[in-house]
Amino acid sequence: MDTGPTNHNIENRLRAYVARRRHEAGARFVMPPDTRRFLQTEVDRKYRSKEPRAMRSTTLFAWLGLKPVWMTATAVVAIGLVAFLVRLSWEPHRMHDLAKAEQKVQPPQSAPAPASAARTRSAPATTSVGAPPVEIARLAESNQDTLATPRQSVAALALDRKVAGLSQRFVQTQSGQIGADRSQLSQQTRNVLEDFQIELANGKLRVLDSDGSVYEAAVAAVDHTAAESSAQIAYRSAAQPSPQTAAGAPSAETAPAPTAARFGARARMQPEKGLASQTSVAPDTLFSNAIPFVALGTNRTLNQSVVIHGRIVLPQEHGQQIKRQSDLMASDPATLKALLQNATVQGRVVIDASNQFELNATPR
Amino acid sequence: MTATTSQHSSTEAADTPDERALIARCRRGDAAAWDELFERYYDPVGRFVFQYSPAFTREDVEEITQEVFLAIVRNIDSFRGNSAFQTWTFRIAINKARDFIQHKSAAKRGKGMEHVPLDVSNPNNGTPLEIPSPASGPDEALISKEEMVMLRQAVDRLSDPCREIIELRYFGDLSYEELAATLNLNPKTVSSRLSKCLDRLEEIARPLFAGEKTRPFSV
Repeated sequence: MDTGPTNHNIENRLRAYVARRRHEAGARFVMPPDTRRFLQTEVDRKYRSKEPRAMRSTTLFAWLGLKPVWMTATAVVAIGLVAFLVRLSWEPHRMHDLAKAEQKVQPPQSAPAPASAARTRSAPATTSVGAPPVEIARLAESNQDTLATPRQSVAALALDRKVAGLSQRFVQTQSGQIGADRSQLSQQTRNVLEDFQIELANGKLRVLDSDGSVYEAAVAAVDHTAAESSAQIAYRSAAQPSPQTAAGAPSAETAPAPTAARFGARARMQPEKGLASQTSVAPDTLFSNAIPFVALGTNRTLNQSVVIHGRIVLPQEHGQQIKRQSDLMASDPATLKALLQNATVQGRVVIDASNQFELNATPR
Repeated sequence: MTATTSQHSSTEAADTPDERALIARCRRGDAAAWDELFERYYDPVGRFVFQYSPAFTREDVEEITQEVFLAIVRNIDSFRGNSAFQTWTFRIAINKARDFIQHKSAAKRGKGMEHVPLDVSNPNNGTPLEIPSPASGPDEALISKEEMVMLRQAVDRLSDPCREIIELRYFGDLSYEELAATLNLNPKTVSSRLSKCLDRLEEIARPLFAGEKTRPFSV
């Protein structure tokens, strides 16, 4: 033993105690076999229960570290799923809003023309749009309610563009200006639809402005008489629009011209409804070679609502083949592309119910 | 002091790389390593436990030592290596021995008689176990069985730090340096604490032994 306190009597007793017990201990202590088995069982139990956790973590790290292809594939699937869900979540809102708007719309009985309104040739600006039927009015109203702010996500838009795949760029011609001198409009207002793109897919039409604004529309079911002469169409198309009289009152030909106030959704389509009820023969029949539409949205630059009462005027030679709207929609993409490349876009654009100008754009 | 020497050499070996490698293998669940560890430490732990109380039989020691090794298997991950592995096992053995004594005391209060097995054979080779002779040997004449019991009682009355340092020092044969490392103390502090604890033990034991001397017979 080491040197230590030896002056204690008790220490001597302790040493004697230890010496005697060591002597009494006798032979070497050997672990009994059953104790050894018991302890080995405990060792096995302890480390076997640890093993699955280690294996799980190893497997996870192997998957993360050694399977980048799987990770990429998983990420792509996840992004696609999210985009799909975003689109799905957007659609029910739209349907709900359409239904809500349908309830709001009061069936127009008659459209009292303003007393001061006179039938002038400046009015057909409205009819040149193609006299949108009630269905369009409803859509327009619902869009005005629901699309005041663009709700579609960038991802959904990108996806939609990919799906659509059919688009044509158009630029506004200088002659397509009506109403007040265009110079009176602000520069930002003049930029609206100066250069835009039309996308057509799945019966939907979308106008993409150069600043990224999106105006959505459904291609309207045409409600015009098939007997309407092309001469009348030409007449209307050729008419120079002059939406306001000197006194500021709206002018119209057969119906009140759409003043800013009259672009309110409920009042807007009343005269067209009346016309349609009188002359509807083939609702799906195209009005000459034009595809009418009403697109609504918010201009991102101005942060103001924009309503486009427009029509896509197809070239005559193609128009002979496309007699019905269903024909147009059933056309193969190549045909549609060719049609759009030779079409013009005409109509009227109303910004925030206060500024308006005529749209006359050609393909670029 | 053959046993003392063997215990001490085992303590010194605890810090070798071989010892650390063995413990590392045990921590990975290597059954052969565990077998080697049992082989290496069973005897030192058994002897330490046997010294702990004069009342312990070899059967008691086997029971206590099994509990000690079960605790080692379950808690080897908590061994930090601050002290020798054997010292760590001794400290576990102290706790298990105390638990055993308390458990046995409770059982005895109900029975009033302690069972002493005489027909137990060595499980390893089937030979009869060596039952210690009640007669005193040449070295044991210095202390009687009753004095051993009294000494154990006196140690049990010490505070925990004093009891632990005395048990490790005299039953475990630890040097001052090993005590210092195990108890996280300065070696000089170990020396002074041990001295004070022995003084305290002597104070406690003196009346016990004085009473023993007044008795007419001593075993």
